[in-house]
Amino acid sequence: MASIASIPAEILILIFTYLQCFADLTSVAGVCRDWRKAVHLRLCASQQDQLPWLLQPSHDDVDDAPPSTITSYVSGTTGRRRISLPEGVRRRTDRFCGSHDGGWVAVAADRRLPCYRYKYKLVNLINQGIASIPLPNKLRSHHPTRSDVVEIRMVTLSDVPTAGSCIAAAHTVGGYPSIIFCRPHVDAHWVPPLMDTEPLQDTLYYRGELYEGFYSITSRDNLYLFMQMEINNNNNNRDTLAMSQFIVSFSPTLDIDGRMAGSTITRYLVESRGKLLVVARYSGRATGIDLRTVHFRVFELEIFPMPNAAGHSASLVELQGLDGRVITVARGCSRSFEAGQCKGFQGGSIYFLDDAVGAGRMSSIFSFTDFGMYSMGETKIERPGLPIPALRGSLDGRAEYHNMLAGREPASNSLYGPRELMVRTIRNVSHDTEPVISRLQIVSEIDHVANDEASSSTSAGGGELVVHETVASVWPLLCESGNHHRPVWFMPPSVDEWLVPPPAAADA
Amino acid sequence: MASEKKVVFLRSSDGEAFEVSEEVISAASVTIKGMIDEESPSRADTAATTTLAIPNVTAATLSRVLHYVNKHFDAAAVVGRPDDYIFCAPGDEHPLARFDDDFVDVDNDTLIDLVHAAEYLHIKKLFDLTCKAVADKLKGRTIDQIRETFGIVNDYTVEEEVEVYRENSWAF
Repeated sequence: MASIASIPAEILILIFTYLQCFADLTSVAGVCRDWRKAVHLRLCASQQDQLPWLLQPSHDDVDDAPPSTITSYVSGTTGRRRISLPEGVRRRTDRFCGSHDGGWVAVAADRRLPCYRYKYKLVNLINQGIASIPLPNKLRSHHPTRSDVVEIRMVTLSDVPTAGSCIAAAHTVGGYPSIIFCRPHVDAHWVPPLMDTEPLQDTLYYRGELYEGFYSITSRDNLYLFMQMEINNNNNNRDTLAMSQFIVSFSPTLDIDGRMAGSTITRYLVESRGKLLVVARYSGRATGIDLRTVHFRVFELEIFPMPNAAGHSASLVELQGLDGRVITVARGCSRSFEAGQCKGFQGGSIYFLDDAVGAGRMSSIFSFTDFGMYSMGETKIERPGLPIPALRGSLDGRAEYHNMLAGREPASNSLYGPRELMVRTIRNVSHDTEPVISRLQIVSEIDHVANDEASSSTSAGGGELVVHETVASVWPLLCESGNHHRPVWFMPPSVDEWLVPPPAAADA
Repeated sequence: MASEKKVVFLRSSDGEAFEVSEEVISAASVTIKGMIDEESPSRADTAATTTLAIPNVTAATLSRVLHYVNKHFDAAAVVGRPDDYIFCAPGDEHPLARFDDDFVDVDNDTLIDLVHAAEYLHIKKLFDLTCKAVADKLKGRTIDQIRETFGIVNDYTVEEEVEVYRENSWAF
């Protein structure tokens, strides 16, 4: 019998090419010196994108609080790890309000009596040796003697916060002004935009060919562009931050016809392959009172100046597929990845969190149920640990469907695994040719007997069902014992920047 | 297909001989195909079957390897009935995905033996499968879990261990 120590370095490197997760590679490099060398050689051979982790933070002011966990899609079903949050972000009232590449998160913390004001800071969860960077919680007011406290919903950054040029943009709670800016390390106050804006849904810093700055999309399908102006304040000779702005209307709008007309639309901005994409998420109340995501559309946005300096206009071109991309969406931190860079992914999928517009309206807490993955078009997708079964025949074949899942069904207490599939059904009845998105609930073997009625309503209406195509899965995250906060995307640093290189080969 | 199927015998390091179709094993293993090609001139027109020594692979491992080879490289077996995989997940792509999953669901030492055998016999599909399986056993584990599972000795110096700890201080 051979042990793993007998495996020569060149095979070890090949084995490590199947590891992509920052956490896995960091662990493996820590095992022994030979393994660290192999990890470095593997990284030299191919550096891959890190898909974001799903970070589910918990607070520790309860004795039996569960630890905060991270879930890595590339690490598969076993890839759920615990993470130690630094001191000062673990209170019940602390919440995460943004994340940035390199292990950074924005935290609203220290909410205390008497006025319940949050303090905001940027914290690096991986490199806990970096001191947290405070962000202001006050707005510079035109009134010389007072400054207004702001409550922040979301923070997005132009760069890593340790960079001197970094600018933070934040959406406020309450909406006036809806967006504010500051330079971490530099400014003691947030500054509002020059002019009032429409309600904003998402903001992203984008280095476009034409303009570099914060792009914000509004709920009325307009786009604002905010760019930094360097101005010298004559009074005290200190640079102050000022943002110029202009508005662009785009067409067509994101409204949707047919059965999904009237859906709530949540808009996200994502940079992908150098272009700015608009991802529109459609939610409806088809299933009871919960607002559920039923559909996604993705558009490529192009801004161009109009002749005679008459402003700008923008056009949207709808993408029929993602062409091998994987997109994770969330306010201020949506990212696009090449599936070819992420083993186990075939592209065409959009991962979403429970942050749709209006999601929190029915109750004051998030329902933890509208997390999932949407598959665009014909592109088949696979997430490690989340097999999406093919649907054949009619939904009456549900018994077989359940059998098929047996043995492949993830453990019932797993974070992974679809509990519900969205199925696009195409009917061949002449008066109703439009695809219908319905839901088919995937239930575990234990409780599927009791749950058949929850499955789907597509067989109603008398049409013959010809095609079922699985378009998305929705899976509820277990909110263990209620001590977890909403999950957020978390972007770990690049592995080769983080790992200490192996000692020089003198000891060979 | 030839009416008479040629077979070869493979003798493991511990002396056990296994019969396998020449066509199948040649398709699977670059190493054995090379051996057979070398032998060919001397066995022309003789009815005697060839026995090849596989000195690096034990009988236990070799029988597993041949089980895999017969499943994957025997054209008649692979095509099979479509009913077998009509309900496989789209990600499976291959009807043998489930067989593969079960095949590598073995203890660590057996798996490592398979990696070595696949490398020695130059069976790329099996090599990839087993390497991936080893990687899967590393996923989601902490340093200590990996050391314990695979019996690896920590050879970091105290100073290096501090760095290792710093790299992993965010996790617990």
